[in-house]
Amino acid sequence: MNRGSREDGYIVLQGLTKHFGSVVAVDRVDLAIAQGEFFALLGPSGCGKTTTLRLIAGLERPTAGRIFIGGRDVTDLVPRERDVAMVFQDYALYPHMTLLENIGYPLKVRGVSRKELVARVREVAEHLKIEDLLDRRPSQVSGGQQQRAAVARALVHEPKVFLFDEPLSNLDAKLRLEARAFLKHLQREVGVTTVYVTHDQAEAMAMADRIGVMFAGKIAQVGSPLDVYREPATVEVAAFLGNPPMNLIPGRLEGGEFVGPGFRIPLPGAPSVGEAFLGIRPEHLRLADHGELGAIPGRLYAVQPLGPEVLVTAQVGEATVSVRLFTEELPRLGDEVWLVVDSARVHLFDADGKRLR
Amino acid sequence: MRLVRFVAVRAGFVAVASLIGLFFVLPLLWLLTAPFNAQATLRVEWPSPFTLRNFGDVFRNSFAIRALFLNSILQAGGTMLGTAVIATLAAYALSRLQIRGRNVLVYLLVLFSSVVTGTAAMVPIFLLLYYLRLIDTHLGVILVLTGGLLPTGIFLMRDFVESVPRSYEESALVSGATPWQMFRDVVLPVLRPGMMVVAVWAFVNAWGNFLIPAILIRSPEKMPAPVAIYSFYTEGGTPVLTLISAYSLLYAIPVVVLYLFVNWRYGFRFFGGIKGGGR
Repeated sequence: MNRGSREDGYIVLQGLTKHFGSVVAVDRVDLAIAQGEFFALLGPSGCGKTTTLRLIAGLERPTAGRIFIGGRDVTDLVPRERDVAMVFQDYALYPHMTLLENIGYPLKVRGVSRKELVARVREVAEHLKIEDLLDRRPSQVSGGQQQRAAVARALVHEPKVFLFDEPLSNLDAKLRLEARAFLKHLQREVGVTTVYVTHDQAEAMAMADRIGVMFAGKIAQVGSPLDVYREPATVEVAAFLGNPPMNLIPGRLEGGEFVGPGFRIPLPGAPSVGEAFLGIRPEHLRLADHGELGAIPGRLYAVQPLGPEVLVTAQVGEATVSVRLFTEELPRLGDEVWLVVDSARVHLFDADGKRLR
Repeated sequence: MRLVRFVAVRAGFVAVASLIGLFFVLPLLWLLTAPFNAQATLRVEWPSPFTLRNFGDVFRNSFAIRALFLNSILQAGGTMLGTAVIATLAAYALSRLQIRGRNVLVYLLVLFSSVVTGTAAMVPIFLLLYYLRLIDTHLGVILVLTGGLLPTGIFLMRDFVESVPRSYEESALVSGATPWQMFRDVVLPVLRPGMMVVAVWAFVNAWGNFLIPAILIRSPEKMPAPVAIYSFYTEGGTPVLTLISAYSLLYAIPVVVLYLFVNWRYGFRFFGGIKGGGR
């Protein structure tokens, strides 16, 4: 699984560790990101994904481990020697400079002549369709335009690596969808290796070539969006991806059966490990009128029509289970519901949360 | 009943407020009228006969004029510059460096500076400057005034520095700036309004300080205006009110001009140095 060898990655992290006092923010992370790849670091807040990004940028010094960019050990280099560009969550556009000066700043500090600076900023700005705003200050343009200006500043000196720190979280929902497509298109076009930090699983799924899912400073799983979605390596990853996320029902695995609260599902060939979790995505469940063999009994909790689909939630023992019905009609349901599992789509995790199948 | 009470309360408030206002306005009225009065007294009265001769007399006192337009400007200007620059650098360092007990240090600085200043510190300060050979120099006055203003200046500046997002600095660093370029291009411009507040505040404090130059400056040609104003006393020790008022009016002008300039250019804000300029 493409982790941490220097040959197969453009950005390589080896045993990367960062402590803040007694807090371990990043814990022995090994990772290899290929040249030109769009890599998303996904995880809940406080999982260490932003710290990892800041370590790559050189804004934090690692406690242990090495960082390589393009085969060069950059662990002890200051940010300006790494030739990376970063887009910050708040864009960090300087309020006292016009957009022209903001976007041109990386060129200015590199001693590029004023004439060339203006020409190159114009070129990038035209590309991002903000060329008419170059005389304005950041406070005089909209949030979406500020975001483009921040991206333009990252593009202008043609860095080897793009680093994005939740760049869409300050945009409203509609703009965010637009910006998502725009950033993905742009990255394909310029082909610069990109590390993109987000806590929004939909954003990571939609944009990235590969996703690294982080929890508590460790990378729990690396893979393509579909791999991570279809075969989550741990219960945490399973519960983090998808909207709504995977249903997880605690029970026991014994004698080729999963035994849950009030039901048994035959799963030929499943190991008998005792306590376990049954995972099933909301779209892989359907509702039945009567108790069928292997159906899960539950108490109806809520029915939410969402337009193209209907989301039904039910109480199964202690667990809340969601069912996605791809229908516009509201189903007529009593208090008792039966949930039928597509047993080919069942995920099994052991008591520690590790994937069994 | 309610209305009566409301009116009574309002009337009482207005009366008290007017009285307090009058108390502060009277000296200003005197300052604006007395210099033009050929026979000024300590009363506020319409100038009669109206005259500009008082100013002519003041300008003939070359000692006092030199004190006002050279020595005071030098000493207050130097203090302003020193305080603004050092307070900015110190506040920046105190805000960005992770030192244990940093906040305690800042509060102790301010506390000590307000306890151990002025008259109580005069003897040690005099001795210190004596050994440094800075008695009777502009530099000596500037250093002592700056030292006295710095703790509060740092305290004021810190609020402005704290309001500058770290991401400004980090984005400059990642963009390829050296730490010095980052400070010059990004941090300083954003802090400028705050520096102006501290600068004007330092200037006003130094401009009006009597005690320190009175003790440290020995030769008449280096004395600032607050000391030189005593040259408008008769040999018997009575103030010549016509001249003192005219000189005081001249003395007040630079501060007012400075305030108006900074207010026009930057606008006075005491907190959040970058509000409105940001996103």
